[in-house]
Amino acid sequence: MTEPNVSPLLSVDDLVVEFHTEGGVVRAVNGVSFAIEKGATLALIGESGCGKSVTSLALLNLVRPPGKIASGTITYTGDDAEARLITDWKSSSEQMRQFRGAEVAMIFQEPMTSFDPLFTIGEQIVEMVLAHRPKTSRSAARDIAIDMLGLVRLPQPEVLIDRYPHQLSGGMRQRVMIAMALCCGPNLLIADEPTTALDVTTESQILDLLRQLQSELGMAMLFITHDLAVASEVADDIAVMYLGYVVERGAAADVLSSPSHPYTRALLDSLPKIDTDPASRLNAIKGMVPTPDEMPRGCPFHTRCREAMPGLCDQRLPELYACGQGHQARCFLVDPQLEVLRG
Amino acid sequence: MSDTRALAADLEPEIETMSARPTAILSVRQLMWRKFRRNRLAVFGLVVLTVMYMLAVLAGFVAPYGVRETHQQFPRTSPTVIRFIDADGQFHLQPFVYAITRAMDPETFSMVSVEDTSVRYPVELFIRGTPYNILGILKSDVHLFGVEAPGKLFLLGTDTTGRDLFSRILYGSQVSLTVGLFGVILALVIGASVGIISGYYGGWFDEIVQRIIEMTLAFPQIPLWLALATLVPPTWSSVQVYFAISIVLSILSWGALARQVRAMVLSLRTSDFVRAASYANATPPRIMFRHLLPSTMSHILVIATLTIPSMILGETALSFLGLGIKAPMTSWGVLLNEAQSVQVILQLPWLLSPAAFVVLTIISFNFVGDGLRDAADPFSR
Amino acid sequence: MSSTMNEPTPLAESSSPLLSVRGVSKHFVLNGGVFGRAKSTVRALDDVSFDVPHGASVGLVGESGCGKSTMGHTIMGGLSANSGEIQFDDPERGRVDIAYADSELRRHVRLNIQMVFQDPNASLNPRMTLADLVAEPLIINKLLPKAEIPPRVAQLLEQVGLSPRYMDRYPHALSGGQRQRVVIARALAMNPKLVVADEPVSALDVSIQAQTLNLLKDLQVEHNLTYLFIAHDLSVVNYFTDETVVMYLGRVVETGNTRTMFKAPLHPYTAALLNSVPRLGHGKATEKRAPKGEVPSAVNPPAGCHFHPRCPYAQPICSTEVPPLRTISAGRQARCHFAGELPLVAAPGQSAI
Ligand SMILES: Nc1ncnc2c1ncn2[C@@H]1O[C@H](COP(=O)(O)OP(=O)(O)O)[C@@H](O)[C@H]1O
Ligand SMILES: Nc1ncnc2c1ncn2[C@@H]1O[C@H](COP(=O)(O)OP(=O)(O)O)[C@@H](O)[C@H]1O
Ligand code: SF4
Ligand SMILES: [Mg+2]
Ligand SMILES: [Mg+2]
Repeated sequence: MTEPNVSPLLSVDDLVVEFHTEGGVVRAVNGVSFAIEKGATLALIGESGCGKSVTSLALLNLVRPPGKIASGTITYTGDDAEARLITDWKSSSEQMRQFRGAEVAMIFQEPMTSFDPLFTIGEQIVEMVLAHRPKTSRSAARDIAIDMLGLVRLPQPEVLIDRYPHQLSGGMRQRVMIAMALCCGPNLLIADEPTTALDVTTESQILDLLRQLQSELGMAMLFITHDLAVASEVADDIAVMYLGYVVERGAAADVLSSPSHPYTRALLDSLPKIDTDPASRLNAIKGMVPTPDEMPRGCPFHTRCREAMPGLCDQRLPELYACGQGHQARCFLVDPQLEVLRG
Repeated sequence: MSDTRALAADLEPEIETMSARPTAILSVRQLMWRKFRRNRLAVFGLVVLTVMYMLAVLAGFVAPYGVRETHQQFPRTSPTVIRFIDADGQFHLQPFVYAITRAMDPETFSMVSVEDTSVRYPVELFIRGTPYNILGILKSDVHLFGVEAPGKLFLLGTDTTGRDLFSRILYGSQVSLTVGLFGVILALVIGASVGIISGYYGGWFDEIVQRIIEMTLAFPQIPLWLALATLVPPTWSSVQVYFAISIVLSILSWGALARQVRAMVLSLRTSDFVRAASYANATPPRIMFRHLLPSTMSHILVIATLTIPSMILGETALSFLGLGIKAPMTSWGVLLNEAQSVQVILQLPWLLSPAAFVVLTIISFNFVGDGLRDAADPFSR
Repeated sequence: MSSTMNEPTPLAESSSPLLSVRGVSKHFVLNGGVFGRAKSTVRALDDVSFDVPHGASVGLVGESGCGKSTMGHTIMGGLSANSGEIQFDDPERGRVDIAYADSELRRHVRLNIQMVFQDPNASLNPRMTLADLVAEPLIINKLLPKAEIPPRVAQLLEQVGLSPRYMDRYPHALSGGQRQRVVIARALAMNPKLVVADEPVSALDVSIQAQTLNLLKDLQVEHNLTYLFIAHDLSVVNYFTDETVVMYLGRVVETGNTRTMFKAPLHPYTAALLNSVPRLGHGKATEKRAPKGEVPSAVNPPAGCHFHPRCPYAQPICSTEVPPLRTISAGRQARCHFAGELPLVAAPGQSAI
């Protein structure tokens, strides 16, 4: 896709995040690696509890105790082409604070909780602008805020700016959230299930907006979702997570059209399609996701996998094996040595 | 059928692994207890209160003297010092006290108690003394500690008539610690029932109840208590007065409780599980007492725990003003009533020690209440 | 009755539907303003009519706030309608109007109509064990002698794929999908004819959603159930239901056979919904045709056709006159002045909804 000598905007290597709870150490993120190219979108998909949100928080060094980044590196290469090792920075350092918002910004599923109900949305955007550009005057910051509201296609931004969060609909709040995230011109936008709480119509408007903004502003996106169809509409690349592991990654079209990991295949299978016979049963995945404190031995998915090979999958953890151009899966079935292993 | 059987088989292993998790098998109550234990202050409060109530029950055994026992030769005696080292600087393994004698204070020309270092009385455990009975069933004359007569051990000194204050505080706690409890139970039963019914049915009943509650809450507490307490006929026996005072105390507390319960019921009433119960034809009493009451119970307990202190203070205040518990019954308020004048406080500061017990109890109840408040929502992290 | 009330949908297979809703309206009066004077009315249901045939699954779809749950609770008798009729074909008493049922009739009918809620965490009392939860309807309605209750509870749990060994567990020890199974077991305890399922799989993960839909389908066959299936996920509705009722701001805007409707919608709103559904396999640059704007406030809905401010085909008449719900072709109705005349297309590549 890009020339090999250009380093990606963000690269995550072997990231491990642990939570130290009463019941012991829980590994919510287990050796995750991925890269996000400049201007591209990576979708992180998986069922709830598989570690998507924790991964995204780790990128901004926002994992709170009892959780912490146990090992791994996160490298960010911004406009100045200088590689910065974010994992070396302290969570509360000035560097990190400037980094959040100015280089990487984040939006969440429920925007209401990210707003202060006592202030108008204008005041909150202005605060955000001033925090990153202290030299701006208040009135200039307000103009920026109005521009941003216009950018996210909100009607009558000069009126809306004086509204309180609760006076807006869910879709409008999500737009304001995006405006706030973009006001410092980040290179990467992390969107954690930004449309999950919205109706299909509003969801499709927000997805349209994000796509348009991305092509206008040239920013990259880490888009977290549990909905494969949504991922297919926004993503260039996809990483599928299960129990804290990345089990498959590659270009979106490859992963969705020729899924190589049984989990990805099963997820796609379990969705009702337009041509699914209504009289038939869906191809459900058996059982449920184990909680991370009961991590199965061997391949994390073997307890639910239709193709699991006893004696192999329940004993050893498969690596990420290449199964196509830039396409890898964590499954022995794509291990070139499979025949040897089966003996 | 075979399909669902297959489904059941699919789910089996996953439930199996679940059983390994400790939280999986615990009830809500057990989860709450786990959470409560994590709050150190709450556990401290609970321990203090347990000790307090045990002391109240075992007052006869722990107190060295009886509640009405006067030591006429030793009025206004300061707390007896328990010593290990005698006047000659010699160490004794068994603690002892000196004998007390009366002497003329050369400055004030009044009789005061002084230590007579020539006579030692060792402090002994399980010593025989004044007979007592516990809860009206267990008769005995063995006391936890004391000294052989004619030695005296006044742990917290004596009052103007020569009664041992420590013993009286223990006996007084029987009244002070229970008058609040009884009042709270009364307020709880009234408040919870009224709150649940008015929250569940709403309508005119709710309107009337709300107005009544507003009225009771608008009254200034102390004057109303005073007014009600003066209504208690002076001819009533001390037991009757005790119950009358509990009722007076609960009259003002049930309203606040009913309000909070009502607010909780209002939000629970439209919750899915209550709707589900009514769609299963559950009758209103069943919904109120099987579903709403248990769901509000933990919060009710929190409110109750936080109400007891104000009731204890209420009793103390009324008795302090001479309108509550009356002699011969003793309570912390009655004891403090005797420490009223500045004169007394200056000369006999130990008479204020019941206040320390009041404070310790109140703080402990508040700690426990805070702990319960956190525990009432056991699913939050 | 009222002139806007519509003749029943002609049904091919059976003469009388299990449930027929006729001209039902439900208004909520909101108190606003400082002294509660400023009253405003939400017409959560406005002249709603549709049929649920015996043994069918009927989908009720629409954006949030359009009155789907209100319809469900009105059928259950948890809310009482302001006007209209809800006819239920009771197995013992024949056709009865349950919109204004007295409490005796209501108690009887509830044995035959049960509800499954969206949020399985909220619809189970956290202080009751699975056994208590599933047994409750049996005990309340004295459906079985005491001794037969535990085996029946075990059987019900088994039917929904839960091991009866865990009967004395509490709901918090279960996952969302398992809790939803308990809710379903509880509903089945009454042996109902009709199950109103209010977004039963919306809160569940993809893999658990498929399991639950399978379970609901299996139970439908085994127990001859009829579903009113409230949902907002159109691909699920497409798979699960036979007929669909589309609602917008309290009004029914289209009804008909699900698959026919999804291939060729008659109402611009249905088309807009279908075109908004994210699709697999069309790549990143999919051009969407989501309707512009958002659902207007239900307190002050647009005059005429509620959808006109967002409708690409709106004409002057749309903002002044309320279109009636008209029968356009056999078994298909739509509430649009131009239904049947518009070039509505389901999105390109409909085949992969
Ligand atoms: N504060 C916490 N304490 C303990 N464990 C946590 C905490 N936050 C997250 N986890 C663990 O991390 C796992 C992944 O969570 P998350 O990233 O939120 O999943 P999702 O993929 O749904 O966003 C959870 O299953 C949970 O076990
Ligand atoms: N108890 C209530 N009081 C006032 N308004 C209500 C009440 N319940 C629902 N509504 C209103 O009725 C409309 C329909 O709500 P609902 O039936 O829950 O929609 P849906 O289930 O389709 O999302 C909404 O505008 C909602 O605000
Ligand atoms: S009636 Fe008019 S506004 Fe309403 S859907 Fe039809 S064309 Fe659109
Ligand atoms: Mg998440
Ligand atoms: Mg709803």
